[in-house]
Amino acid sequence: MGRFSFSPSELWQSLSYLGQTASSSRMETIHSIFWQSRLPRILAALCVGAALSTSGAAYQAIFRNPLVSPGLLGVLAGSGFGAALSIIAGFNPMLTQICAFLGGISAVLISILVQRILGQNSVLILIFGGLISAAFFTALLSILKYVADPESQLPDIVFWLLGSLTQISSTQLAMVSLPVSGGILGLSLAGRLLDALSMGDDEACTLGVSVYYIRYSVIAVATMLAALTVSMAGMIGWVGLVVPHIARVIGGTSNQRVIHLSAIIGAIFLLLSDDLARCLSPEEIPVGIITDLVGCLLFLWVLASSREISL
Amino acid sequence: MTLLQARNLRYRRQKTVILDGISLSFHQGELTALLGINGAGKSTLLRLLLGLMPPDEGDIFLQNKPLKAISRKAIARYIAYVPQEHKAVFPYTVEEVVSLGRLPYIAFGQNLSLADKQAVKQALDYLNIASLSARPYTELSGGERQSVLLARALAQGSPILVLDEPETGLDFGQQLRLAVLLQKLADEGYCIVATTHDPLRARQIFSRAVLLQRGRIIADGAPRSVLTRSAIEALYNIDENIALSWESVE
Repeated sequence: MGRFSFSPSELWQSLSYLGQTASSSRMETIHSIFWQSRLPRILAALCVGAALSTSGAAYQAIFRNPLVSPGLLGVLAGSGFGAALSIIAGFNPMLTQICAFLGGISAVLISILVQRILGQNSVLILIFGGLISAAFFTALLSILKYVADPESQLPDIVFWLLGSLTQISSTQLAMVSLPVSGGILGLSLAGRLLDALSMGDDEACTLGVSVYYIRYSVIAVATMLAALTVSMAGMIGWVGLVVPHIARVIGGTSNQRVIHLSAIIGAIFLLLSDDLARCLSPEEIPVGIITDLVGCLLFLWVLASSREISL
Repeated sequence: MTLLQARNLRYRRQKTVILDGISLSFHQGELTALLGINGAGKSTLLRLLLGLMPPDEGDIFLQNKPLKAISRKAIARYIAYVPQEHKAVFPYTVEEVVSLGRLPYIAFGQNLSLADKQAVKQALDYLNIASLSARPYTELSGGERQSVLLARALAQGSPILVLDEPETGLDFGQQLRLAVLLQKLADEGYCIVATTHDPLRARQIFSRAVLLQRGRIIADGAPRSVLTRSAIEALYNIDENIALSWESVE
């Protein structure tokens, strides 16, 4: 799939030529494209989709709200600002990704800081902190877009914000795969605790859960996952919101199952969305646009077919 | 045997004193009702007893150990909480909700053991709600949800049950069934503490009544001796006309 097409048998042939000198130039090209471009991108789509979905599922359980997505505490706005700042400063793509990650983490820390300043530990105040933090970084991002060079910098910022898997390298994938896998595993192990937390703080506490420790640990891990995805692929919307709902429709409400299924479904969803992004038109469409379009239709289907949302 | 003890508790919210000089002991097999008007400090007292927040002064002892020195998990093995029935956000099945009662016995990331599953089944059977196991908790009636929360508390295997206005949202029949159940549990040795707004029912089913007024205990003892007409009139600011109708109910 993609602009340079080859059949599965050709791919198999090229793989079997690995290490041999007598290979045709087409086989070498296929070999090179598969290992250096296609495979990293496939793995990146799986990794980003799984991370966004599990992050969304964890956020929904922690905040006891099925309409919450990983952007709740401002991580997406903060990452967007970090990336735009880096683009304007002329940093290379790797530094842009690091800035995006740091921006996302900073936004969530500001949300928590607002909660601390107000001196309350309630989830609602934390969400308000997230709203303030997101609005603040969105405003800063708008300023950067306003001052960016409209010929060179602004298109880069806009393209990055639309979300795309084109920039991912094997090195970067190797760097993030460990924290992403660890984060997903950690959240899946915390499934029962998330079930208790989604019943309310008092109930979770009387069921033996150290509410504040678990809540902030889960927020830290879910935020790290979301920030890593934004640093790799820009803003990819709807995955973190919709996929956990699909997981609940398929496998029930228990968060042990929801986290596992979200990871699998999210990975497949983003892989298919990325395939569509590459094949729908001669020029590649940012995958964020595809997930927005498909995501809202899927969400409509979930709302129509499930009884799960109780607002 | 004394299971839970509060010694000279004092709790303030900003400058307002919510509870003052509260000393109480709760014993095995005792069915205690906490009564008082809204704002008298009943819910705050429950929260302190559950360890959900610390008192400003005084101490709480769980089997003679200071509550603040006991881990959350260990407290949960001794004290189970039954909140007012509520509608959860996510549609967990009844079995999943009751299974949460086994959390204090499960290590991080671990699944329910056979013994845990057995405890869940026993709790469902005890409350006669095994047939509801696969039903979403969100689709149950108020009375059924209350039963599920009680089953979760029983699955927790804790000798102390703390209930926050358990009769709220229940119809007359459900209230009667709940009363019988609480008496049965107390007879089996559970130490039960419940807030209630119904002094008449408290007289009938509880073995002890504690009356709270403006954060202080004004009476503590057998319900028939504590919940007298004059005490209830004073506690709830009931004037003579309403008191007459209460008398007719009695």
